[in-house]
Amino acid sequence: MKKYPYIIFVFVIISQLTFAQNKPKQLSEEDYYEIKTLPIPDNIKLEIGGVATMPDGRLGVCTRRGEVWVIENPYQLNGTQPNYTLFASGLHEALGLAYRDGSFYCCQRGELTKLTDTDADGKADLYESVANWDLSGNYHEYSYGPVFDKNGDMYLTFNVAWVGYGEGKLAKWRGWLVKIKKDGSLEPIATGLRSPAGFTVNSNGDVLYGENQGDWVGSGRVTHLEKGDFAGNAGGLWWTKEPESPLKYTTVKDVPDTGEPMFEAAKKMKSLKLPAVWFPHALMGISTADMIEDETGGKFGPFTGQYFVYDQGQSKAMRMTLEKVNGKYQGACYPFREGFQSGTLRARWGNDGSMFVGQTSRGWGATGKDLFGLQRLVWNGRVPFEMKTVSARPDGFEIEFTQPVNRSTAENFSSYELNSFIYKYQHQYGSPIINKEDTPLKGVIVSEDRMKVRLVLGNIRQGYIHQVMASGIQNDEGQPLLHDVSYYTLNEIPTGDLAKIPTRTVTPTPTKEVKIPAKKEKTGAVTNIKEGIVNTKEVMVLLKKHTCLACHAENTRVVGPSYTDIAKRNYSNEKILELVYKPEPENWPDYATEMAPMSHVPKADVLKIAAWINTLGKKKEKVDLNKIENRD
Amino acid sequence: MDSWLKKSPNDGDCGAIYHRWDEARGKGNEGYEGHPPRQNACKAPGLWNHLEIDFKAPTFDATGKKLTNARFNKVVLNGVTVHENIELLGVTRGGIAGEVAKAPFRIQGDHGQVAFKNFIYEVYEPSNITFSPANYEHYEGGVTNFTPKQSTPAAKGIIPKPTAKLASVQSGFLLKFQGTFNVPQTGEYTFTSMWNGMGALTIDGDTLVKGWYLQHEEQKKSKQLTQGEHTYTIVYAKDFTWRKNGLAVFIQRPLSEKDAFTERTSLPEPDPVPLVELKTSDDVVLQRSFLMYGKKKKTHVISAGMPTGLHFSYDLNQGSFLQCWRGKFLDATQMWHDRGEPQTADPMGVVVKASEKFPLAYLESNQTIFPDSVSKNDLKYKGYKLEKRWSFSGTYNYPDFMYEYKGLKVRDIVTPLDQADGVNRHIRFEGQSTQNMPLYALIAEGTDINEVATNRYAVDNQQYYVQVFPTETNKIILRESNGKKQLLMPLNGLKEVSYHLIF
Repeated sequence: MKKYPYIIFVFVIISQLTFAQNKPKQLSEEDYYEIKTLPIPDNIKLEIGGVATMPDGRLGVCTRRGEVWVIENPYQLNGTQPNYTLFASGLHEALGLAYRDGSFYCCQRGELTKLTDTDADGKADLYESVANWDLSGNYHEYSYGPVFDKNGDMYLTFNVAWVGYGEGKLAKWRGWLVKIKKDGSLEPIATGLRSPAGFTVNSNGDVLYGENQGDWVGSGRVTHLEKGDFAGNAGGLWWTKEPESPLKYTTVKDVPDTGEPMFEAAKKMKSLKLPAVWFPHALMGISTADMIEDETGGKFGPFTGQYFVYDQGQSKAMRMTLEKVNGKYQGACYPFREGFQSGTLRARWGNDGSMFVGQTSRGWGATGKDLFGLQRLVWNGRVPFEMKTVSARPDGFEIEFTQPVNRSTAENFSSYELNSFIYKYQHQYGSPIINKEDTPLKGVIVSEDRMKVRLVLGNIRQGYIHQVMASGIQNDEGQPLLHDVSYYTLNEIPTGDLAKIPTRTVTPTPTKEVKIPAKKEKTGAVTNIKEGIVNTKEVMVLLKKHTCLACHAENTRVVGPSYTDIAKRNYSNEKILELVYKPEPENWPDYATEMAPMSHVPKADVLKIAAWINTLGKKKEKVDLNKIENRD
Repeated sequence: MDSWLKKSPNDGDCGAIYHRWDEARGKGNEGYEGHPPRQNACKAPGLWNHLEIDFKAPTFDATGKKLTNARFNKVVLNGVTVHENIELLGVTRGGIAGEVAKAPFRIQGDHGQVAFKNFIYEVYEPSNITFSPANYEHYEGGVTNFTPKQSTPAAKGIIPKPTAKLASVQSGFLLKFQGTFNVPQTGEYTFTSMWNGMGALTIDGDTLVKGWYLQHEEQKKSKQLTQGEHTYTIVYAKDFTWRKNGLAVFIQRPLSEKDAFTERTSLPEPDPVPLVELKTSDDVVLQRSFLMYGKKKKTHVISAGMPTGLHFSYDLNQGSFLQCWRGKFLDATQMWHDRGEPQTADPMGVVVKASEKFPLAYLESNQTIFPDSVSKNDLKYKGYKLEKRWSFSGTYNYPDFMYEYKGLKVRDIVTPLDQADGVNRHIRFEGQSTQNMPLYALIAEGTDINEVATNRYAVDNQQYYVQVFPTETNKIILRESNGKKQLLMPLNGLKEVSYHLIF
């Protein structure tokens, strides 16, 4: 009897080793980038609107309740606690913070304020108005910034008011990017901004800003703003009547409100600036927030010179690469890191090359469940297997990877899913995906060092968003890409030599190692309802594929209502289809973020999802007698 | 009672519901069941207090047995709610009789000098309207413009009172209620309806209200009714899901209680919104917000909560001392709950409104109109500096508001007076003026201003006092301008001006 345990023990080890050799461990984002949560004292509502790192290792944050906290020991070396000191208070919804030469600069709703501690007691006692501007009193007139440029001038962005649509004329320069010079004077730079919560001045001195889906904005996007640009939302055009306006007098009637793609509208309207990168709604994020260029010189991983773009609603960071084609910025976005605790509004580099992420979700729905939070994103030194950059070529794209690819998986055509699409440019809120077409793969060239793959495509279309998905590609260890998709905004097609597609040496049949995920459908739990048979597993695959799960969950409120709550409305399947294609946000007044029309999702898929939603309702269709008979 | 400045008022103070008295409870314990006000809302002697009481008398049956207790539905003193829905279990001390359904209204003035004026009262009689049970029809499966898709009702029957709870769905239903009611006297009756969706109210065949409304869009219609029986029809239909089902119809005769046709639970309860209160602390608390000033929304306002319990709001755009109050500091719910769409903050104590004008102006003569506002070119807000200043209650950091006004550098400083009976406003100015006209300060403005003691004026129908400090060369001017009284002080040769605001 005594021998048996040993035998069993050995057997287990061998089987695990065998397993490990055949199937590598599924790696996830946290294996490379760790999210570290800073503890916040119980009595502080740290609803972060701005983050500013200080050269001495402390961290400043400002909050929507108008406080500025200075946090000592925010890196928590050796597991120690951070210490919070209230530096300033009483500001009005402070949504941006910067630190320079011993003072904080904070953007309130109606004022850019310089905060200085003149008596060295650790608290600001001088609140100087660097610049102030008019407000109408509309809550949506948020003001963001400042971001310093190299001259020491500061940029601010001003939301338009919300009156059922974005309105700029209620107060001067709403819907504009403005520059505040050192003497406090205000210079209007560009308009067309709707809800510009995040922007940056990059290492070239260029201003990039992120926009939220809404009226005139089909999807989230990042746009390079130069003097005199019009970025798309018509609300701010009112102020082009002013003599200081860098745009000539323009009204909403001059804007081609046709529902055709923005690049078509831009042909008719010279000042209309195309975004450098579209962030497809729900496929990437739902509410673009802060962005930050990787200037850490490798301390944050292999993405130096690239950008991290946050999404407030989905509590996550995305990655963005830019290149200049025909003198204009354009590029691609990629998933990067999910799972933050609240709405990720603000990000700033720490002194050690980690990133502080300031968060808030009060009144602004977010996937992260906390009302507010402060976290730090830290690279742990391992290089994830990623598409490092996707760049445009005259006949397709070139993907550069962070690790050598397995040649046979890279040369296999079925490793890729390629197509392109775009959004409508219109005064209505959001847009469905339109004009989606495949971009057939004509050839693949893998570089000598296997770090690059050139894709030669048919049907590449100028102005369109091109999906480059490479789910079949593996590295030498047999691991798939950590993120298999990117979206490239092809405003310009570069000139240059066309690729010479070699005679194909590899057969298109997948090798043994190549497994294209999610193609096989297993029979899942089946529920019988009168509308038909509903397969829960199949529906889950559809929900994921069409990115529904980005905003909805079965039982819990995320950005939108839970499916169980939707079921309670007793919509017919056809009505659900109608609402998915043409949402009526007024049906859900308690939710901050409007749903975008999802009319690109095939009808059959929506009806399957709708039938499943309605099975959730059937479980609890019971009249509450207590409620009916409740009397005084 | 003169309870002015008392920190913790008790049940014998101004705004209190006085206690009951029973000697049998033993010496020192005779008083019981009194209610102090939620906070002290009493103003200074010589100023008018404004008290609003909504009181429901106790009711008794024919044998004199008490059916319901007396109740203060609401008591508001100087704009501050000091009680709401407090039942009195018996007669309070000093009441002239035992508990009865109707008795004279008594005022008592035996604690020093007191004056009363402008009594306005309304006595509400029981309505004595009776309602028959209602016949109802309930249609489901869709509705367009008051017409249900199904021509036969899903259910019908008789219920005690109409209620929206009969609908088992949120949308696509129609409810029809019919019944009679009996009014005890001939007269004009007001019908108030509230519903989410479509509804119609018909009295004796006369359709008073018909249309699509949301619950808060109350509809009021009047109709002459003769004593006796009348018929009513209420139709309620809804074709959308995004508001809860809700239906209520009320009837009221002038000076009688309001009665409901509908069941109490037929209207949904309002969403629970917690109070977000900004409290005072061990130093001056400053908070910027939007502020409703009358009907105007001011966007660059800062409010200061001082440890002494005196607080003020200040318009940074115009350098104006808007208002001052005593009591709790700031209700920030409309700013910090959810998205905070109004973005306003509200004072939580007894407010006196001062002025929305910048206090300095260059005037051609003492007859020139004082400007209502100053442009941004003439008046530049520069920020504020927190300065440690001593007062009787301690040393705190008070803001000095800083401006540039037509060549002058101005500092505007507000601190509490020693006894916390008011505030001192101190305006300093230096530098070369760009103007050739003399400089004046506007100290107070109101419908009337009367000198009640040397250099002390009661302003705006005795809402507050100002104390001024004229000199031999700079005498106070009390003048009329644009139909209002104004207190002006010429500032020739001065570098500062101060005045006290007391209430």
